[in-house]
Amino acid sequence: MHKHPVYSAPQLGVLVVAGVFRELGWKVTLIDSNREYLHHLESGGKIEDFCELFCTRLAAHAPDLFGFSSICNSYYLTLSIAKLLKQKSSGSRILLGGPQASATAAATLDLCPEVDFVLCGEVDSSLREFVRYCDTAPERVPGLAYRRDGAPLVSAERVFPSIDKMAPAAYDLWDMSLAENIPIEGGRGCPFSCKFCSTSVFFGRSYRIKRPEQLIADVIELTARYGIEKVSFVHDNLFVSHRQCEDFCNAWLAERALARIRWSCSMRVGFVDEELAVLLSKANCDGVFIGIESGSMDIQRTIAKRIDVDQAVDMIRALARHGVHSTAAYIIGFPEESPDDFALTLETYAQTLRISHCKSQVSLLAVLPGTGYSIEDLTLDGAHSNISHQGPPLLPEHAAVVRSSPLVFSGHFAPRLRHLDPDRVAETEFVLNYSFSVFRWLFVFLTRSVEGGIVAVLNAWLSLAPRLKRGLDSRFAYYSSREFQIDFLRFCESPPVVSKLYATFLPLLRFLVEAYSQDEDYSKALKSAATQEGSGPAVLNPSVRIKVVSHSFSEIVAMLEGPELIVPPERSARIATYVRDNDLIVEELTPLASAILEAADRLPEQLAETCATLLPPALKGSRKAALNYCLRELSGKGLLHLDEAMTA
Amino acid sequence: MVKEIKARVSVQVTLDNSADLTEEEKKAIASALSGTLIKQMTLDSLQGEPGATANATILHDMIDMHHHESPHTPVA
Repeated sequence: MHKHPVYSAPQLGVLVVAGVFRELGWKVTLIDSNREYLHHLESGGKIEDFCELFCTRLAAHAPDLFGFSSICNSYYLTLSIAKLLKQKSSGSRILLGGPQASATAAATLDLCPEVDFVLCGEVDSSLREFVRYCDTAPERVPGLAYRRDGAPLVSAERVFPSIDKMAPAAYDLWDMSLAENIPIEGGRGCPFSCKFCSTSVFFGRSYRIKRPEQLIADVIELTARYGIEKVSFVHDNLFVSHRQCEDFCNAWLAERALARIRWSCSMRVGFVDEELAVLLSKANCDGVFIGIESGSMDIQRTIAKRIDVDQAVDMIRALARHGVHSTAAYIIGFPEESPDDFALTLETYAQTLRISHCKSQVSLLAVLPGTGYSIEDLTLDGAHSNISHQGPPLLPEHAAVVRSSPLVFSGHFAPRLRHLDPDRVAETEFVLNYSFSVFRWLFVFLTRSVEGGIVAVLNAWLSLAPRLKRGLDSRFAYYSSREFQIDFLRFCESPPVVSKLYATFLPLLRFLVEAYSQDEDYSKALKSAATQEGSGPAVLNPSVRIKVVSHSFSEIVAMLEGPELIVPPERSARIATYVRDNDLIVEELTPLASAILEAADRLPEQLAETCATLLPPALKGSRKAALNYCLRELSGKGLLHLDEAMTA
Repeated sequence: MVKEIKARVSVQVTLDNSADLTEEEKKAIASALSGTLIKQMTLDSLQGEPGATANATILHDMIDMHHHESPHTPVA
């Protein structure tokens, strides 16, 4: 199994539940269906065969109880697996938990007779009661959905456990050797109640945060145990005030053991000023997730988020000035959204898009059960089901199940948009996310140099691309293919774009299109590549291609980040295309990297002489050592091939 | 041939010297070698045939998962 950022990430929810079961004295086995699914596909298995094979494997355990976590968009798979499992292991009972099952408990029992129980909400304290009473007195278990005489019933109020009395998550059940980051529970609940969000549905508005000393103790213990130097605090709003954030950062800075550990979190906009951005940076904060949602203040009020959009963008800029990365998340497709609201979100997106330390991402609104959006007016249009970007394409048999219950599967259905064309909104999500992912600075350039900005660019793309009126899977297939990439590069030089481009920028447009086209015939080049011979310590990796270009890409990025577009003069630069692990990378080389790559196959003395003036000044160590370190670095990136015999 | 042997001996010596650098010096060198990323994508997507895995994972890679972790635990 290779390290995959998603499939390798420990899933804290199930690890917490496993910890609770352990405290009750149970033996717990954890089976990660995500990894099983990936392994199935990588072994050549078909999507449609997965559930059957997976259930056969699960049934072999023949336990008393199968427990499933649940989220909205893979819920149809959870229920499919439960159904099959009951056929194969009729003596085992099936218990569901997690946000989706909790929000749809009674409807789930109605829809799926194979599910025996749903334990709603946080189970830290109710699980003990469940184990004791599920057969004899289920009404005594807080938040339990069960059947009496065949009819679903949901028992009394849920319990919100104290943050100080929670069982430790069972990280040892996860293969932590594949993890690059340790998720650590920061607390539970959110003090806000945004109309679209299900956090308060699940946790209530019971805002609980671990004390700084508790969080820090967890970090020290877990990073030492697993040798991982990155943690993410899992909580929707770890900090909601300046004071709270400041106290945490100061506590972190006081702890020497944390000097090399980096962390990320999610926080509310509105209190991060320049001073706090400096403190966050000093305290090794590496990333902040910020839900901006909409660029329209009217929509901010409608959805009860009520953040100041300008303040949010200023906060992201302040964080970036001090090297702190951020993610700005947007939602489009609110039923109330007008064309003006939509344009304001696009323009805010364009602002955060040009902050290089910020990742901008867009999701379509999915109506979640229990939130402020009604499930009465939904359409299954095939364009939805992507709130968490999880799971495989919806198979026809699953689509029939989903269609049968908008209440249970509302995340797959589109809300009726009062003022916007749903197909254009759905397509916009893909254009923005994929152009960000593949052509970020070219897209920024278009939004800044084309008359009318991002709205005009999007309108031009949508008018040229006869791709509307198709479903989610077709959009996935198109936007993740080479076809989209070729079309987008052609689009950039097409009349609708060029005619609205200020003439001064035409050479830059051509340069950027060229820079982003470097991989066009890369596959062919790879096939014909052969290892070079050299007399020096290293040779260029045969998979590397280097091209001399007319502008410095980094200077153009600096221009695009700045307030004004002042075209930089031409300056020869080098772009390398190469492969690292399973990734294709196109990168502008630094002068030092260029010089070393061009001279790597020469004798060490010649190489040292070539690079002498480009090495960082004031190196205390020897130049030979510095040069060797350079060679190792470039070899580690996949650019050079070192002679193994010499490095042994 | 003689030249090649000399080169190898010389390299053997210098490779052993990398311990002379301080952490700060290593950081300075890494920074001087760190280019500007233009594009990064999986090789699968270069092949032009986005299979089911690619479909499911490309957006995974793009979308920050922080917000979608516990209790929104992914279940494939």
